[in-house]
Amino acid sequence: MKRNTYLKTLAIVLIFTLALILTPQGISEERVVLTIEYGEPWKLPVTWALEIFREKYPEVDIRLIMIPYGIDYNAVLAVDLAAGTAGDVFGIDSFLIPEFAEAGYLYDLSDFVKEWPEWEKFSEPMRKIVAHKGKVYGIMIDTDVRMIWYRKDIFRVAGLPEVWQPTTWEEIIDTALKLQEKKEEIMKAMGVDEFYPIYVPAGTKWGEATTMQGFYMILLGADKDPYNRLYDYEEEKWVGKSKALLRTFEFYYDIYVKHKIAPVEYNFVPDVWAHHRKTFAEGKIGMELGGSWEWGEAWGPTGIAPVPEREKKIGFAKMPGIKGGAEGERKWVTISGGWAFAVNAKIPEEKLKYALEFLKILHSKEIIAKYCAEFGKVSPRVDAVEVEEYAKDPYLTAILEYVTFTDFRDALPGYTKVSYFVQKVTEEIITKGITPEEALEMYYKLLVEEFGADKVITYPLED
Amino acid sequence: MRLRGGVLLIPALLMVFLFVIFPALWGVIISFTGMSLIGVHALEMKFIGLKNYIKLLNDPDFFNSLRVSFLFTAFSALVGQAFLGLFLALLFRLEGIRGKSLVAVVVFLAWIIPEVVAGYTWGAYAHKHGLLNTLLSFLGIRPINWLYKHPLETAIIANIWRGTAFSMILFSAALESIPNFLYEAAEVDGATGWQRFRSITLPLISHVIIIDYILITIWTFSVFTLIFVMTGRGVGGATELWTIFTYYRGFQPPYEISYAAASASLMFLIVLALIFVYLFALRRVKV
Repeated sequence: MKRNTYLKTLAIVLIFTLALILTPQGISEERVVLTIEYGEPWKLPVTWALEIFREKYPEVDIRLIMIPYGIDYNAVLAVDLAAGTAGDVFGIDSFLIPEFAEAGYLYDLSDFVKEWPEWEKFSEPMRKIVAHKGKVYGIMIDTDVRMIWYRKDIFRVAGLPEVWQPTTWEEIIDTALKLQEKKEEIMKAMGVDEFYPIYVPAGTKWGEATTMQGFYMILLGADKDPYNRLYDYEEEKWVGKSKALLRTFEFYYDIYVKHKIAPVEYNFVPDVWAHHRKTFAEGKIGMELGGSWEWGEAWGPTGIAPVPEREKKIGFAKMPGIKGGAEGERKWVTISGGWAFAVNAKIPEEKLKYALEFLKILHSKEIIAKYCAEFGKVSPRVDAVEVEEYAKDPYLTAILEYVTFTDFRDALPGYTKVSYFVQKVTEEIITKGITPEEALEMYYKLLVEEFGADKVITYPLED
Repeated sequence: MRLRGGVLLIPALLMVFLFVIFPALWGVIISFTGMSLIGVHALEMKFIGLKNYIKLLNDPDFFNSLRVSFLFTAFSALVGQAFLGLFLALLFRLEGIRGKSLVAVVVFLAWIIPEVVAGYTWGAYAHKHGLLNTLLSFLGIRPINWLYKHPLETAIIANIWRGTAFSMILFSAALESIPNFLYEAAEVDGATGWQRFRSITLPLISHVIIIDYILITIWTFSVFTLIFVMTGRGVGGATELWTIFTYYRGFQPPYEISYAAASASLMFLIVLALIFVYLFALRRVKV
């Protein structure tokens, strides 16, 4: 008898559990639930857009998946998409659009933008960067440029000019060496126990940032166009060996190995992003290659590592080409990336309308302008300057110049692998001290192993 | 009666199949395909035979991760956790030692706090400006960034700290089961402490030691979070455990999930082989 009761109870519990597991999420599925997945940096614009969206469409429930700072958003998104659990609308790093589109994860927005009059307000490069094989897969929410950040107060201590604009690579390294000479004085003046004159992200821990903030900024100015790229568009091959690649590896070698003026270990701390922002704010770094967003996101009053009176302490300069254009290479170098919002290809029909409406609100002139002004990001919409917050910001006005000479990465299918090879090779240079020539050989071999020798081109290393 | 027992097993077997056996098999199947999370080959089941395995056996990073995992398991679990656990268990049996419960609480705390928290705690502790360096500075030792200068050693110590509790509990239970009269008799015969340990304690708990080794080997080989949070790959892959290697291949650009699956399957075989060695040893001990 007793045993029977026990068995019955067990059976009931089991049935209930199974029923719970098997019931599709909730019975009250009458309302449309729109899921939005994004990283914490986009919390503000998403919140603003939702305020408007909720008022307009009270019949829709919103579910938010916010991936906080410190977590690899790209990895989460890739896994969520593969598993079929990603949001209906999600933020995406623009460089991943080609490979995500190839995977069939992204909804084709071409028809939508054709009928959306505001699409024309996005600058041409911003309309191109979200397209793959002639189709549009996302809408940019912000873009950026990259530059040399430096500490005016540290330059002052070292007796260097506070308004500084190097015109060649040599000048950068010379300035860094001068800072190195005054290291003790700087450390005393800043009240820090370590100091490195220059910091360029390197290694695999930084991921894509190594390639964008560091490698491309050097590579694009290392030789004349089109020999300054990772990909040869004419031959449709990856560049395995070139003078530009060699010179770029040499730059890393010089600052990390030869002169030892860059911090190897900063590239391997648990949270490289938070660490670089903090150490730069503390005055442990003299200059670094970095993105325009840091002004607001990191060192602004509401940033991660606020620098009080940042206008007086932090300066920024354009990255020059190797000889400042004297050998036919670019005079100034910068590169842009940025983030877009996209729609899940698997979105159910009844949600699609709302997802597109949400995109319209999120990418309105006001929200983009206000958000970019708040974070010091560059607006992908040209009409952002009509919004007061954006127009009156002296920093944003100053970096407008960069947009005139900016470039984009070679984000073709296969790029993420190439980018990983760049990270790996720079890691070998800074940790093992391999020479630029060895680095080039290693890079070439990695490319050939991955794509096959017929898909890799080499340029002569001598003129 | 017997039939009813079998029926009762069905739900459990179903769960095991659904959540253990099926995913494991799925992993093996994927490892023979060219599947990747993004790009043209995303979620594509195109069989490419042993290609992933051949690539793996030519990948110096894979061998590095194997080496790191073996060192990590050997020193943090088989030496560190097991010896310290046994030592603590023996210590707790002694009477008249004060502060035993305090030590036990500390050891347990390390075990029960979430792994991510433990990782960040160690990250902060071993940081250049962390508590460890502050303590060492009292001894006149200059501060260094332990996670950078000695990443693997620091990771090993962190894992000893984290996992000793389990071995300690297991050995404590085993020691309880040894009848006291054996020690009393030995004492009457004039055996020293060491002799008692060697001839009574050790043989009587040897099977537990092997069981402990089996369990901590499995667990330590699959440690991920603690080290991933502390150092990730470490400088030049110094702390790139096999699990971290697999994670990076599968969940970082270029998201080669099939390659990661091959790495996981191969490692499963290696751990399985180790377990067989232990089981063989266990049999010999019991006979």
